[in-house]
Amino acid sequence: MNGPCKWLLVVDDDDDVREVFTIILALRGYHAITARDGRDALDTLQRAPAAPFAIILDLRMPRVDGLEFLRELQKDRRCAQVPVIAVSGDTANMTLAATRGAIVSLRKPVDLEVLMGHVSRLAGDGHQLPA
Amino acid sequence: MAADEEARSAAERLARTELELAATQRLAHVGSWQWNVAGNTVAWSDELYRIYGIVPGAFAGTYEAFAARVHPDDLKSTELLLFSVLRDPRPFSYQHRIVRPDGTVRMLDTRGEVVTDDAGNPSGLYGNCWDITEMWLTTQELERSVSLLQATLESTQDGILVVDTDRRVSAYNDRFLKLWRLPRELAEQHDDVALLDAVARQLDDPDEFRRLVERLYRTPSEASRDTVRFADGRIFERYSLPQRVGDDVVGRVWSFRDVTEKEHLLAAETFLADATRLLASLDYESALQAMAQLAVPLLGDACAIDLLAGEGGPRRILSASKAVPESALPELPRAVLSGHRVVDNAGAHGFISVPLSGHEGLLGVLTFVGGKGRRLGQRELSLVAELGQRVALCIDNARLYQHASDALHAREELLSITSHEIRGPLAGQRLAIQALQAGAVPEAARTRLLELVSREGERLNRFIDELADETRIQSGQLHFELSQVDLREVVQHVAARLAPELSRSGSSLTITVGGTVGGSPVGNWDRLRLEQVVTNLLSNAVKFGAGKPISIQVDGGDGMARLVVSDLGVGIPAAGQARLFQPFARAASSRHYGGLGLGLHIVRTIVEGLGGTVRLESAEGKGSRFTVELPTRAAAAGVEEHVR
Repeated sequence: MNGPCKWLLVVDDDDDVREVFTIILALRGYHAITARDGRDALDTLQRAPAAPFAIILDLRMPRVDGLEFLRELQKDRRCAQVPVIAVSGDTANMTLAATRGAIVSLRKPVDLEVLMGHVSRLAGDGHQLPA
Repeated sequence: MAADEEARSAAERLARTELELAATQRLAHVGSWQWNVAGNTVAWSDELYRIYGIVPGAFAGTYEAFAARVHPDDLKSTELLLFSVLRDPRPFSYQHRIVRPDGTVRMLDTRGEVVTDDAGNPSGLYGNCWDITEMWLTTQELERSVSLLQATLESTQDGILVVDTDRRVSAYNDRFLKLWRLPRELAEQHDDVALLDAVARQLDDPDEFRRLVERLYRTPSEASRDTVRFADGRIFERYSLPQRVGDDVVGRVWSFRDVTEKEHLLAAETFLADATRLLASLDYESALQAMAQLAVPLLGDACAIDLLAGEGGPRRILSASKAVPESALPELPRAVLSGHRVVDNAGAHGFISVPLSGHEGLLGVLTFVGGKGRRLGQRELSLVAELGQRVALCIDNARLYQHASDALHAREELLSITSHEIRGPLAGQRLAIQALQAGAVPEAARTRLLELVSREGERLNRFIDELADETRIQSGQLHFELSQVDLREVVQHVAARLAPELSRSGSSLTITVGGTVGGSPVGNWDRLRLEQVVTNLLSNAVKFGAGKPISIQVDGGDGMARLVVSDLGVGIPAAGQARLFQPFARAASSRHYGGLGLGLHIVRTIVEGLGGTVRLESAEGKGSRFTVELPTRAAAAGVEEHVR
């Protein structure tokens, strides 16, 4: 199990997607905090006592979308280095996300084990990466 | 002896005198005669015999013999004159023709006096006859020439003025006076300078006109052809040629032709061709602006195109010369808005307004304002009407193109949104199912995951229903099955179904029945369609309600029912409100809020199909309020009713 400060941020405008991420991450022992869009996510990061170990980011959202969020994130001294897993249905956006600092871009629909492999690696808790 | 000598010498002198007289008479073609009225004897000199073409002695020497030789057409006037001088003795002169035995006609000029007896009574006449046939023929020839010239001058459509080298008017025709609107009295003064003043006053550039006239008078042999422009818009072609007698220039002939009609037709044709080229553009606003600028000052002092609707609402595209202040532009006449053409010459600037009729009704109004004091007529109206048709076609084409390309864009966006919206639930379902398959899951988490799988299935189903409905709407196949429906029940039912969504959103829902109108909200409607209306409006309020309270109010009475759905959420900016009820409205927004953007279009289509209305009041950041009003007996045009 991770320490109380070990958490990750899930940013998605879809209520159900946020819920399913929360449940499956909890099943693997990760504490997820959710945000409904980029603005909300930036606010959440501001308020949090510590930076998350990873951010799972949907790219298509209202108000501040994933790509804008990535740009804003670079300006955040504390969180600029937090690794981001970008999730998108759109190949072009996936490429854009990579150029803006996302270390992983996953295509929707996301495979549970692929996602968990990345999360576990980023959490540094000894899980093996899938081949 | 001396007396004999004297008598002989006198007789010789007399004979010589008579010979000289006869010779003089012969040379001058003058004959003399005497008429003794009482004795009815007429005596002629030899020359008179020659003049009459008869040998001496062949004349009977009576008045009747004389009268027989007078040209029958002149006999009556001759007799009237002769008898009148006998009654009232006085010197006389007259002209008459005679007919010689060989049939030739001669003209004689006669001068004579009356002879009186001792009592003072007229006893006879005597006089001279001068054969003026040659002069008479020459004069006749001259008169024929003059009349031919006059007839020629008057028969032409050109105004002609002839001025001699002393600047005196030597000839002009009526057409000249008419073209230049000059009084005859002025022309009859024969003063070219006065004429020039009256003419120059009417022109656009009087000084230039005078300069050219003076130059031509200074160079008498020069010919010229040019155009004269009037202040009132008329245009003349002017030709000027020297008038020559032999090699000498004796004056100058000016001729003027009114080419206003021709020039205007030419200008109109050229303008229409240029305008049509401009209007071929699909960017109609720029095309209309360019066309309006082309029209001023070519056709008038101002050109305005009022667009009634379309993107950006009513507005005016204007091009005006300095001569027309914007305040002088006319109000749109009511008649134009009903589709009529208007020509108004009442003000200082006349104007023409024509409706711009597109294939779906009035698009706007095209107005031309004429030059100050210029009367606008049928010619201008035809041109403006023709232009109006082309402008309307241009707007129609551009809008059709815009709609087509918007629709294409919307569909592309829709595909993109649809795939996003379908991937969302699918992604949720897949993750949930994989988690369930991956191994032991605690009971509470298992329940939540299974619920989620089922909910995502529902969502997918709703998208597909929406798409199917929209397809039906687009192809005009939305049917209504009418029955007695209580709006309160519909609202309760939908609220119960959406309870889970509501609770997740954190918004509370208050339903109020009754209220302002009072009465029962029961009507002849399609239950399932009405459920869709309430579902879409309530889902909307949940989605955009930002977790704040939502309220639904239902009431009815006076044959109407009313449904009001209000939230206190994000609201809709004014600019986006009109677009909201269009299909794929969400697609037009770059900020994606989820959903297909069809919900409100479906709401409007159903409500209007049932004969009702839906309206929105909203302010950004303050929430939205949708009001649906339905007649309790649905009856709407254009919607097929299926009553089961």
